[in-house]
Amino acid sequence: MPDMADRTLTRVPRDVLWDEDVYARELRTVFRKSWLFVGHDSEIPSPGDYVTRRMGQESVIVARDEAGRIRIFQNSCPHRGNQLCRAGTGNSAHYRCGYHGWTFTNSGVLRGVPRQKELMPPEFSRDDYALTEPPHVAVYQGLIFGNWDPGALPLEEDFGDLRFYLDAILGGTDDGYEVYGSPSRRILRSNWKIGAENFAGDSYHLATTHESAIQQGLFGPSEEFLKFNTISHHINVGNGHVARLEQFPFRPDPPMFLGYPEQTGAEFMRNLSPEQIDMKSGTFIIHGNIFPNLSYMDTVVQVDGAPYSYVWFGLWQPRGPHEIEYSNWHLFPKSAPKEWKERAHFAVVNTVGHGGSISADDTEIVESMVAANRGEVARGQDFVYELGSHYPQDKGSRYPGERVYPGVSEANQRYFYEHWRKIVYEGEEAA
Amino acid sequence: MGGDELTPPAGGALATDDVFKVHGFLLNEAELLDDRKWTEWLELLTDDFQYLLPLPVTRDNPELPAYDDIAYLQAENRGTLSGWVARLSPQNIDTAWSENPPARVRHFITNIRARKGDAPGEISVRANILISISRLDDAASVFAAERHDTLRAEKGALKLALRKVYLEQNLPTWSLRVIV
Repeated sequence: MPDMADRTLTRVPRDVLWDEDVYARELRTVFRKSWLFVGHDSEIPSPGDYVTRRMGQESVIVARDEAGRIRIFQNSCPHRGNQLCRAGTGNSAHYRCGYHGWTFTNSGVLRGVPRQKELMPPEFSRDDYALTEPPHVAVYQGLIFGNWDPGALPLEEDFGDLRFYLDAILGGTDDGYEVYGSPSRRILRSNWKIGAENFAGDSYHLATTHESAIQQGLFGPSEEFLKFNTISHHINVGNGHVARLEQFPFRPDPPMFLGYPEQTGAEFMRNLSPEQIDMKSGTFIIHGNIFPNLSYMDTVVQVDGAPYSYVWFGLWQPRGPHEIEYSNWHLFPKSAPKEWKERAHFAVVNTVGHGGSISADDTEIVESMVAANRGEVARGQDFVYELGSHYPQDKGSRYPGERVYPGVSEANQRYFYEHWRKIVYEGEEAA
Repeated sequence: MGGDELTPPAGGALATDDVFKVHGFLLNEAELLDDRKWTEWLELLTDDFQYLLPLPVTRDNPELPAYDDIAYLQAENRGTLSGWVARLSPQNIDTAWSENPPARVRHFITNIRARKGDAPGEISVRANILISISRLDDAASVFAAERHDTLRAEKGALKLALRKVYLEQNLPTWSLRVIV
């Protein structure tokens, strides 16, 4: 494992992408002790609905049981480990193992063992073989998380000030948000941290990586976009969670919510706090990363001459140190008109979908950062996160969290790696 | 032999001449794509053209479609594709990071089934596609799909009015910046 002690996190060893011991340790610490995202409750609206997902490398079923409660089960038979649900999505009151026929209810109870009386010892009890569930499952603003650590902080406490931002993003409408369709997925040849820390708050790459998108007017007419002189705010809300705001230097009066159906703006005014209204109407993009690997974004894109706002989540799920299953969820207000959602979905897929012109340039960087650093020389070097490390703390914010003085900076990456180092390097003893 | 032997019923059989025209159209279109003659390729599209890839899903019920009801993995129209092509033009290609250097792409088209379309003057075409794509030093990815195309005659020439692409794979490993 590369030495991470006694260094300011303006420098991170490149070897954290390649070292097999680092990855093994991450699976035992980061992915055993953090709140891990598995989906949104609108994906499983009815009793019996389920989707199959992963938590790190763990295969799980995310289900709504007959009583309507959201559950996460290890997708593996407690008997001999055969996978129970193989489809990506479905509805079932029971899960029947295809190997020996053990059958479980969708609340995880072992209901049937073929020829139990004849073959099992008398003391065998089905109660001892319920499906394994993470000790903690929590739903926040519809987002479903599980945590394998029995001693984990409750989710609301772990999230802390992140809740202000998630509430502003998903709590502004009367009926909540829903995922549009199934999440879209693709494989990337990269390390999960690269995607997570880029989304955590890389304000620096926009002008270069996305130069062609800006020129094409995807963020609005390019001359106007550049003239706005937006200001970048980097916010550390603790426990590795971060937010970044790209704010206009002015506030529309009355508050205006670009790219939403008219009635949605009225709902925001009813449901959000004055600080959240100020943030949402004065910010071009709110984005960040929920530690470890869930990136989020609330922004607007211009397609076919019209602006569309959307909420987006991206999950960087490791399949090894150099492979990611990258999944995207797009969410819209439930109450938005169907035709608006269709057009907005088109706009989102077209730009930040896996084949979109914006994300294509991001994933190019995400993959090449790993490909370019596999040699012994590169592995002995550092990644540099110096930007804005000299900025003073900013005390003037109306929004919660610790904030450095506004300006392009790599502060959020430093916050990300600070927490990562704590979990990976100090977290094993307690595991 | 009439076109009906090549085109089992649905909207109805085409005249043999029209079947030949459809084959010629698809082969010419694939050549433009493989040769990266984007501007000429755009000329083959109607103004209301849409390019859609329904999102593949694996459901527990094999009776249900293996694609999402509402969501797409990729979505383009004539306007957004003009932006795509502009991005690849000599003045912009230096900042189209993911497409410079470009991928090597080869289309293979087979099992072409052309029938009369739903509207008068429209032709509905289903075809199987195999694509080989490789960028930089990567080994080629080969993937299969079925195209559902709608062709329409405009001023005597066939144009592509709609293309739906049904990928035969859930989890793509290649760059989706490719027209299937």
